[in-house]
Amino acid sequence: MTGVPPFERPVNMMFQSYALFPHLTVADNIVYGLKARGTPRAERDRSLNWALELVRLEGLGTRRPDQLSGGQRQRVALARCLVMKPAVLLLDEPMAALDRSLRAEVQKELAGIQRKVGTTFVLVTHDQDEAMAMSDYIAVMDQGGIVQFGTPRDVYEYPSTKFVASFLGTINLFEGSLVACTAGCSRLRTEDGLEIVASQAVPGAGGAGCAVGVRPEKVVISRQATALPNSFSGTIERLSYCGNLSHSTIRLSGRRTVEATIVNSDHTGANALGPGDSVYVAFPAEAAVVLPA
Amino acid sequence: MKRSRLTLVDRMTIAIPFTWLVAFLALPMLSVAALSFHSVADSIPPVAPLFAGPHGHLALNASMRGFRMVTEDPLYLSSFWNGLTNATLTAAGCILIGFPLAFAISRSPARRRNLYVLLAILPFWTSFLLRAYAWMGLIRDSGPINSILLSLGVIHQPIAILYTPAAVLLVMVYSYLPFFVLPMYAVLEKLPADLLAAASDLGARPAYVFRTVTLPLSLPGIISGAILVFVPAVGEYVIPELVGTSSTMMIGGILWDEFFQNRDWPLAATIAIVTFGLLMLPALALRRWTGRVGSVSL
Repeated sequence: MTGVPPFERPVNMMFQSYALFPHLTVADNIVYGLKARGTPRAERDRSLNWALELVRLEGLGTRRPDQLSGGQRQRVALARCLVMKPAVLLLDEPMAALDRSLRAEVQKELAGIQRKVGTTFVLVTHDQDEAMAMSDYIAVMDQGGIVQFGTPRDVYEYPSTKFVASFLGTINLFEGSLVACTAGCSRLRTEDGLEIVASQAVPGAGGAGCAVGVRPEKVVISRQATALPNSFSGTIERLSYCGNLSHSTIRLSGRRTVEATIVNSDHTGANALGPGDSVYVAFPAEAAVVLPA
Repeated sequence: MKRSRLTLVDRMTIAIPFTWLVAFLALPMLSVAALSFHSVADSIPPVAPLFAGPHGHLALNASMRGFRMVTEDPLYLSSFWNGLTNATLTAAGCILIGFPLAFAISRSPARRRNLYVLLAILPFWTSFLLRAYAWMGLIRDSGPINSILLSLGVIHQPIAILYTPAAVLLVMVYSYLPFFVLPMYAVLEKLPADLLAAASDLGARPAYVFRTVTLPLSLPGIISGAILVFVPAVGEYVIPELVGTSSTMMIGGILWDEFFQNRDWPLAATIAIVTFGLLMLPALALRRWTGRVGSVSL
């Protein structure tokens, strides 16, 4: 596509600024591309009505962009692209110009419109929650190249590199060298002497460097030791209560800390943990993801 | 609607520019307007008093001679016509050259734009007369332009450019160009690049983008630039005098002659007032029109 001039590409882009033409009405903005293409008037009008209905802007066709709200402007920009029936629609940070309160609503709406028209949307975003919530597939990019491509669940649960693991969500990384590797099980020792078991075979001989990552919500905190294979004792250093969840930082022996998320299922807080409490942190072997060093 | 109340400080702040405008704009204009009704007299100043009757009685002594001459004498009518056509052509020439120039500057890399704007207005730093004389040297029969064309064999006789209406137009467009380029650039620079990219993304070819997006959005700049050129160009005196012919008299030249050569102050004042009226009407109409077009916010 690099050699094809922009006006001949079967791809459309929704700009971050929406780039609506301020001197044209909503209707004229929407049919701009069709007019440029020389589509007959009757067909243009049909597309216009279809698009206005799709983005729920019926009756606003004669308004000018400066008479619309931010959300309405975004829908005009979307309609303007969709009437072109592109093979792929590129959306450049579509939520960036919207209030935080509007975003969730617009995300839902955008996803709904996408389901209805079936066009492939490529949505560029820096907001990982938005990426997770809206997409069927996520491509994580670093330094201009795609480092992992998969469903949100794949990318979150089985990140392929340390970059992806820490870019998308929070993760506890244990770096060390491989001690033993049997079918379906690897054992890793960190420099500070922790031994981690992961239910995942790693290609590589003993002594090879590698890393293991564990998501904070898979770490279990308890006052008593558990039967889980990866169990360590430590002290709660910091605990922030966020309503549904609490985020805690537990210091193990030495410099290592582990992040753990606690679900606040006990509304009275009777057994609530607090900073300074001695606890055990543990996670099952299945929760540990082996990453290349 | 709630009436806003002005404090004493507000009033005093407004009073300063207001006083300035009354003292240095409104009063002189009124005195010129009054002068146009005086009669000529062989005295110093060369006009008869407006209120003077025989035997010391006070009586109005107004004369419509100036207005009659201006509206009936073909010399004055044609000079108005020449002035207006010349100014229109000058404005058109400035649009033709200035728009692409301003557009190119506005689309050049940001760090070089200021340099280009500076280059566009650099001629202002030398005397206007000096530049007019430089043009006279360039376009005279024995000047560099004719000698180069002659030596290349393109022409066999020098082309007469100097002392023709074409020379007036050439030098006027050259001199007034910065007045057009600056407001035009100010508008084009604010034109978001996103809009042009979006139009192109929607399948519009460059010419279509220009016609449907660039041009409509730069209209306010074209109009304000053209007014800035047109208004002073109508009364231009020096350039036609230096490089033009005496057969096409312009308003500025006629006004000068009536005032200084013929010492006919009332007639000169009448010409000034009529010129002012001729300029104000289209300028006001254009303002009203741009007021509507220009309401588009970028």
